[in-house]
Amino acid sequence: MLTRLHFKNWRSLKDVTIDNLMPLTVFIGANASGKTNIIEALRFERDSLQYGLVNVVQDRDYTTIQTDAMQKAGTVTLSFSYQLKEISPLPLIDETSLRFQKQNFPFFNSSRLTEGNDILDVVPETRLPIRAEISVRNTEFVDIEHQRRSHEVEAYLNNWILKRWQILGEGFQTPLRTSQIGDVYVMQPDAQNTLHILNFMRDVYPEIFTELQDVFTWLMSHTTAVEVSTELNKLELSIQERGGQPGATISAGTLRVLAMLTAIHALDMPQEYRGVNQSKVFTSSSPGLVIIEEPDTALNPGLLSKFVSLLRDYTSDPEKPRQFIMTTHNPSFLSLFQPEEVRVVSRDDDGYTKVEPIPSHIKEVWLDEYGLGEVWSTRSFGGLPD
Amino acid sequence: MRALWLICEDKSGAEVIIHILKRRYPDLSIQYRLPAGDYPNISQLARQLSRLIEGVLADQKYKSGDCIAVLHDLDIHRQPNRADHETIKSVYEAQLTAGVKILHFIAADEIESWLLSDSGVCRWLKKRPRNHDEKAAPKDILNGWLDDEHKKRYSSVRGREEVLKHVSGDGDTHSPSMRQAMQQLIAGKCID
Repeated sequence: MLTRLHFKNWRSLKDVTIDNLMPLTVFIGANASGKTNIIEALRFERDSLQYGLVNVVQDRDYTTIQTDAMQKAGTVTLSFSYQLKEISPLPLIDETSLRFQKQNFPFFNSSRLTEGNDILDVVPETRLPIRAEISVRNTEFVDIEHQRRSHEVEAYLNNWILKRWQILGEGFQTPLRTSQIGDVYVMQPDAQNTLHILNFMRDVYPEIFTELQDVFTWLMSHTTAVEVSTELNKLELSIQERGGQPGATISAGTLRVLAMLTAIHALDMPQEYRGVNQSKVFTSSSPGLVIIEEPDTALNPGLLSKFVSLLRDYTSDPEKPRQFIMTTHNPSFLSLFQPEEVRVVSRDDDGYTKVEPIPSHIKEVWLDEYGLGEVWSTRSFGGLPD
Repeated sequence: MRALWLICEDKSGAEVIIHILKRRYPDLSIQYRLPAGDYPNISQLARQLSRLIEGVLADQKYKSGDCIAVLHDLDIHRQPNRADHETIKSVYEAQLTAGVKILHFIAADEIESWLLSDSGVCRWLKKRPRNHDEKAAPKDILNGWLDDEHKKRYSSVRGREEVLKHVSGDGDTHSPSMRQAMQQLIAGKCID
């Protein structure tokens, strides 16, 4: 489970710590308050493992990575803290720093991995892209046992991030049809590979597909079945509605729900990964992190309540530890959460993002009669436009 | 710096008084609270006022010396049932008795009368500033003036914003209800 985030000079987050992340955490805030920048940091972490740090920096442009104040020359730091019992009883902290000069390249990268109080690995500041003459990476530790543990934790952590983080970005949508090439385990942020995952799941893990279908038809009670067919080298989605009729049109909300459930249930499929010396397998009982931007978009308020109760069921299953991080603008959606599950994102007087918990008195003063979303409208805590 | 915590019946009222106070006291720090709900109104203010005050007093940013001010319209012409107004008055008096530094601003008959007597707004609308506290519907009067002069509506967000840009903050010269509110601020030592 992700327990703490710390950002320095990352986009609009000049120096922000977000701790005590819960199994369900929802970020609320006005447009352009910085919610997406938090999610972007998580995407950056995963993308840099998947595509390589240099490519990801090139893709994003250094000016969009760091805060305005740092554009002359500064260090961007992203720090992620985890509690992952599969690999360690101690908290793990993975910290990456990037220092830019006045352009994307070259930039300087350093990193540090700690397990409890033990520093497993420190990579001193390295110029990237690496020049040929200094292509051998220097680490400060030569102790064999230390190195073994460092590699073990690093391998687990990197694979966990790559294979167990499902990220759905703004505007995600299941396509009605798509070509046959796409990842079958990890959701793309735009959800364009939903049908690939569903197709693979139905063929290889039919029991997981059946469970997903049961949950989907319970949530979307006008439907009775989800089908993915192959037509002229394309995958095509169809949804059966009550009365045995195929759905003539599939609503945006239905397509978004399908993408979210597919991302969640894809974590139940076993997935092999390369450990230090041997292959290992993530199973449904391995922790999973699902990040969804604005899950409430296009969903009826009545459905939201069912959806959040479903998320609570997922997080309370000890056999399948799942964590959800979400963003929203929607007071009705907010009312479905406890104050400790909410973080308020807003801008300070200098225009930088700040992230705060809901003030502790809110529960006592208001929540016996009013929902958190209603209290939001009183302006008793931040996150509303001026 | 001392802060003023406004508790208003709706957002448009909050915007009017904030513009007035910012013109008069640019350094005054102002926070505002509204009743919960999509369309806050006097009934919700009456029902939730105790909670709203309790919330302000419990807020980490609230400091001793800060003032709380409850603002609402008198509504004598439009609201024959005075139950909500009486409830607000009794909550205010109870808090005052309990030692809370609290003020009670009542705009007669609506807060727009404070704009009808404002020299900046009147100059822009080519009217003479005077007392409109006794008029039945100051909001409708302002709507008419704005329509006549600039073909805009005060009831629209953008029309209201346009009016507020011209506020001078001196409506208390003519409006007794605004004068009473501003005198409370001074008497309560809510401004430096």
